[in-house]
Amino acid sequence: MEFFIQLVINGLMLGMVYALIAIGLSLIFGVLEIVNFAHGHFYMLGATVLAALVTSAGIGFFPSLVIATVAVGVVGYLVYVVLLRHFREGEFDRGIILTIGIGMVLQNGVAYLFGSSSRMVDTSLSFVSWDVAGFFVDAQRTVAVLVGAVAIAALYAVLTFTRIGKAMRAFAQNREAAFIVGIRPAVIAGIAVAIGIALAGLAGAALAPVFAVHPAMGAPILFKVFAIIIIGGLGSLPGALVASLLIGVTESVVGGYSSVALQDAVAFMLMIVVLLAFPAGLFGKGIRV
Amino acid sequence: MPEKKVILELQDMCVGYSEPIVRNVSLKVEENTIWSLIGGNGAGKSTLLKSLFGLTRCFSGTLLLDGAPIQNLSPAERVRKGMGIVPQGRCNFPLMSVRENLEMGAYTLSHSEAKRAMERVLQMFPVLRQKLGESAGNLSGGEQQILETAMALETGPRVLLLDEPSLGLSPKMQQEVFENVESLRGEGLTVIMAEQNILGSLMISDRAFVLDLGTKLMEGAAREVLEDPKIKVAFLGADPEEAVE
Ligand SMILES: Nc1ncnc2c1ncn2[C@@H]1O[C@H](COP(=O)(O)OP(=O)(O)O)[C@@H](O)[C@H]1O
Ligand SMILES: [Mg+2]
Repeated sequence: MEFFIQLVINGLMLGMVYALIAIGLSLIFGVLEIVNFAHGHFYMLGATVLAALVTSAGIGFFPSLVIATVAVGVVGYLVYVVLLRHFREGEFDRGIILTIGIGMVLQNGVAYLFGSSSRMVDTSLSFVSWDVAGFFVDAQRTVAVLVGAVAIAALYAVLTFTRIGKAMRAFAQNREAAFIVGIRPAVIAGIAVAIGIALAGLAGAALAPVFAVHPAMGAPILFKVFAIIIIGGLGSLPGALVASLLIGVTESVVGGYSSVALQDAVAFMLMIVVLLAFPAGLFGKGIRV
Repeated sequence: MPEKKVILELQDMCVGYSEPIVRNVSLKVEENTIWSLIGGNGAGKSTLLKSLFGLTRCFSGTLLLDGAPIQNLSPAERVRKGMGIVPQGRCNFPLMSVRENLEMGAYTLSHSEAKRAMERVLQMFPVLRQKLGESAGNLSGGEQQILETAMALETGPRVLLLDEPSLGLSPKMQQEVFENVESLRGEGLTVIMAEQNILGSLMISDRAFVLDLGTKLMEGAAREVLEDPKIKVAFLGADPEEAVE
């Protein structure tokens, strides 16, 4: 039983990080109707920037986390302004090709600048763990989870209480109506893309000290997160959160009791089952908060 | 009667989607009038109304608001210049509450202006006040239509475009809609509405514009159009023999 609870705790931690990535991807899809195939690569970029700041520049973990998140968000905003902004409605397939290309450029650009070997990042929290009621709690992972929870709560607050956040939800729910009330699409979409991509960067930065950092780390997580947002329902943010936690826990439990090979297939098996039973995902479409 | 100022002028406009649907339309809309836009199903009424708001593509021609060309402006800029539209089909935010929808309707206003605008439309449409916390998507069709009209009126538009405002309503509610439109004219608005209730709409209109297969069939005072034999036969169900006299 204790082993099981330990696995669930680990799974919730993993799930929270999936949620950061999945919610950003879902937000961008909801507002722009573009599936960002480069999303995993922005996660990688966040990890890379953090690794560089901590290891090479000797900056502390928390300031580096903030800098990395903002930096990735800025890159995301520039990608919107320079490339994604020019899309017209219904150019879905062009969006796929273009974002795959952006991902490739990021991956190879990072490999060129930083080398393609795996790197470990040591911070003041590495190798620290706490014993909480008999359970082993890793400090670095705990910090990642707390950071994720705070970021998700902040996004919820922005979407619920601010004018710009409400405009994002409005835009995702009915574009024509959003034009009619005078919402400027480029402003809203640019902010949504910057926020969504910054969240992926934050996830990468928060997890950099936990996993090895390397240029190709983006693609595998991207496909897992695709499975997650399909399970949760495309465009649904609570759906993305719930599905992330579900997958995180299931993976952790499966990995604990059987094999690591099966662990990575779990998300996709669940996705197939959900698609058969609920074609629109568990939570349907529309940014709901 | 003194000459009224022309507020909206269409000059040889061709509008549509991937190709033009409505062609070579010219029109001078005077301030503080009601216009009926008439035509059979698929004549292009909705396309033309949307194009006035920048929601469809303008292939050629000029659209002047207060004498200044606006055909290249986005809908967001046209709202800020004093236009409003309630298109056919749902144009609210279904997962947001009625209150949030009204906040969005006042998106272009400052915080204090938005508050006043909301209060003003709630007084105009008291039924919305009891539903402020409900999701717009859960309202009845008629209530959603009222919400959408309220949203369009919040910015205090000078030109209001209405697409089939009485569609799907009971005769009594249709009458109410027409009375509301008349009172908007009383407040100085210019209204252009496409209507399937041609009789009801022509009765309150000053002018009418008849579209057929995307081109202008006729334009004139509402009363003249109402009396026109062709219109009587085509839209008002008159017997062709009698109508010609
Ligand atoms: N979104 C669209 N894309 C392409 N064609 C459209 C679109 N909407 C309407 N049409 C076409 O434009 C023509 C006019 O339609 P519409 O303006 O809705 O007519 P009305 O409102 O007078 O019934 C129709 O032939 C219709 O098929
Ligand atoms: Mg129509």
